[in-house]
Amino acid sequence: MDGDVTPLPGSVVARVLARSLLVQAAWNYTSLQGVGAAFAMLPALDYLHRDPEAFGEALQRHAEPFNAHPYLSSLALGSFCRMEAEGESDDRIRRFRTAVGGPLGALGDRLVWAAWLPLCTVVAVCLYLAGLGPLWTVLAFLVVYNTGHLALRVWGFREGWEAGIGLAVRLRSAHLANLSRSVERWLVGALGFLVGLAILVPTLRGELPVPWASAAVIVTALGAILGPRVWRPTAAATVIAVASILTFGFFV
Amino acid sequence: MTALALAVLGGLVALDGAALIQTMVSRPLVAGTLAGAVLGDAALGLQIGAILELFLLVGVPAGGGRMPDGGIAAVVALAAAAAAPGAGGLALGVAGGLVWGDWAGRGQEWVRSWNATHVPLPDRGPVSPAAVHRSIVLGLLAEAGRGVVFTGAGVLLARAVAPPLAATWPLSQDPTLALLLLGGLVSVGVVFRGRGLGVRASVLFGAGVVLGLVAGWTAT
Repeated sequence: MDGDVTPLPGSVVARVLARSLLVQAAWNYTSLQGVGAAFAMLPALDYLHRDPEAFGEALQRHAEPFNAHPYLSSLALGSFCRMEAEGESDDRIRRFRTAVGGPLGALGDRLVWAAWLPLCTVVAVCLYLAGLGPLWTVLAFLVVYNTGHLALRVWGFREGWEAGIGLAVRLRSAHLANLSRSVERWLVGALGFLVGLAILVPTLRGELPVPWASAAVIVTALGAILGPRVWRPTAAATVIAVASILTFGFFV
Repeated sequence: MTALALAVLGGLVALDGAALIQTMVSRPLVAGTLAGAVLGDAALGLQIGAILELFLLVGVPAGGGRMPDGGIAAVVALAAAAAAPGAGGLALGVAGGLVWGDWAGRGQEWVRSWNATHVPLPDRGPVSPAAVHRSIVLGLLAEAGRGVVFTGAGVLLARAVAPPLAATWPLSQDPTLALLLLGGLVSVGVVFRGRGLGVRASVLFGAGVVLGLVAGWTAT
């Protein structure tokens, strides 16, 4: 962390980071992550604002509505801490809080929810299909996923602190969008690997009848063509199919 | 006693889903395996968790949106499958887990609406550290309570209903598994579409298929 501003003590940073793990603990439809962000900021505010009035004002602004991707909220928290340490005006911090949430949400959704999580999940399912035991499969998933997850949180706070109000510029040079694209490419490859392992291998071995394998290829293609709108109807159709078979002995 | 243990597990996975850390213990793959371990069959847990995982692959908590609770779905599915061993229990478990997980996801909406009544808001008056701490604790308790209640109720219902229903299930293990996988594979296609259907994505997907084929063929 650079030398323009006195860095926060390690114990304060550790407490802010630990509390950021609960940023969604009281998620609600009014202030979203607002109270969680205020909770995470408390150790830093307590350290930076010795004057009770200044502390109260700072807590007030950090309890305002706020929402970002939970993992990347540490980026925002790092920036907020820096801005508080630099004595930025109340108005400037409030406007920054309002502006930064959306982009961090979109960036995190794309990198974590739409790429890293499905990649780790698909790889874990492949490991299971390849014969890895339950304990090792789950352990591998948790260790790999959370290595990325926790690294992102720690990196985020550090970047946020170093960038302060210049977070947007800093994020552009961090190439998170490029990282998302790389992870997505691996995900696409892993999806293909899963299809090869789960459908083609058992079919070639004669363990999966050709009509079932054909149906599997067709529904996968349908998912790719029709997109997210078929996800819920498909789950509902599976439930209805199970209920129908139970009730009427259909397809027997 | 195992019902209580599963309900507690449901509370933990509900917390992990959004409110606390999000280590993804709440994903069906992990929650199913843990529930299986509680019930003495971790392999069955992983199998059901993997099937549910395929269904819920696109169900991620982006933007605070409501999604089925995959962790609770997996625990309840395991309770059903363990209560009625065989293909019928597997089918009932997955189908029942999907329905129950969806309801548990709706329960999260209630918790989030209730949270709005106790969080300190700046426009309602001065915010104190004590009020912030209180809201965090209440939010965690509500989320854990949701998990315990939904999972406990689901487990009890699954244990009562699964054995008699599963006894009438007419299909054997393989077609049952294939039927369930068909539903899950749609999500695989949906996730692929989300990454774009361009030439590069198709080449990568094709390379993955070939590698999967080779790896699977040579593995045994």
